[in-house]
Amino acid sequence: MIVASLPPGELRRRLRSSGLRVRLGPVAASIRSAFPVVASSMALHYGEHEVVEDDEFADFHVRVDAPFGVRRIVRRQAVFDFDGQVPFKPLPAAHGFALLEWGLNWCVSAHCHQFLMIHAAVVERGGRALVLPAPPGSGKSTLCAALVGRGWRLLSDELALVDLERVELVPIPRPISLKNDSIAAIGRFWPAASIGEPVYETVKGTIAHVAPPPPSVRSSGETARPAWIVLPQFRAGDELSLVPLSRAATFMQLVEAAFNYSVLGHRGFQVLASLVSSCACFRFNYGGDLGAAVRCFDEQLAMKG
Amino acid sequence: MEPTTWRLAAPRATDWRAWDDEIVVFHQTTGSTHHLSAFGSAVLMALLDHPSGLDVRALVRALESRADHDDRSSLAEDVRAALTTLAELKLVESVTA
Repeated sequence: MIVASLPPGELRRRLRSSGLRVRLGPVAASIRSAFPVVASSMALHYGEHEVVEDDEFADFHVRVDAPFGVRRIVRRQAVFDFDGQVPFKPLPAAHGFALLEWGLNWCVSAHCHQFLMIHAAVVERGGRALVLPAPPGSGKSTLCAALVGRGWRLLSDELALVDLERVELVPIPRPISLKNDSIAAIGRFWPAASIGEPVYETVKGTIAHVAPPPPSVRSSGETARPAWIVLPQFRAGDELSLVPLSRAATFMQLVEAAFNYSVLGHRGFQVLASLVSSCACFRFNYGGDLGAAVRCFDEQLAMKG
Repeated sequence: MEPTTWRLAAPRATDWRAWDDEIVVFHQTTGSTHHLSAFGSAVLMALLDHPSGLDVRALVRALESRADHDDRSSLAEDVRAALTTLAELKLVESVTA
């Protein structure tokens, strides 16, 4: 059963009571929240995700709700609770779904050490995965959304999960988080995108989420072979360029971008080295022409045959 | 007068990958990862090929054929500088005969 096929009112009921359990790629999360914005956003962005029944295992038990105590009285706020821990400061209640998304990212990146985890978007086409590691502000999510809007499969917008044995990318397709000007840019470039209501004045500015395309969610059990590692950098007006980057330099960039390289120790080195060895590595500059950017990667795909 | 032999500080705790003429090195004892320049990589690779160690003169001979090192007169100096850096990274150590 998928979230969209739950009877009317059932999604909200589960969120308010025992928790809505959903499969997120290799993990399952139990989510509780009384906030209407969380319920409506879950319906929009997680409609195709598999519902995990209450008697099945959930890796993470999370809750986004009003805080206890005086904060509840002063103004409407939301806190993210993970198994009784509150790892983040409260945010305005209107930011509830964004807080849930950030919290779920944190759950995975802080706990799923069965993978090498890299802060990167991952998309796939023709069985070949393109890994886009980058710090915030580099245009990673915008580029990821543009590629997905033109038929690349979404594996993740935030978390590259590398299987430690096979060194393949494990999908965890969840909403793509867009910020500020990129929201309108993707709205124009991909008119059919299912974009949620913008949330204003977050710590990252205005943000809005794009629902993962149903085919990406349905194929979330299919890993992808790594083929390219591309470090994107968006600067308004820049000429588009795709410049080869040495594997050693790429390796060091990924060390910086990895969440648990140090935790994995020598195994992390070996897996990251295998990942880099199997990929062509580039630095990619683009200045806002998303069509040209997507064509550039489609050409790379064509060259690989 | 070159009484000093240089060798890997912890060969069993050192892993590396070479791509083209650059290498990345992982030191298991410290948990640190280093990206070496082409020349630093060449020095380390020469020591990897000689587990019992090499002195500077032998390292110079091993590196003389490098096409990218035009200035042969400074080679010994450059080798010493690279060894100092590699020693600071705890990748190599000196053993005085």
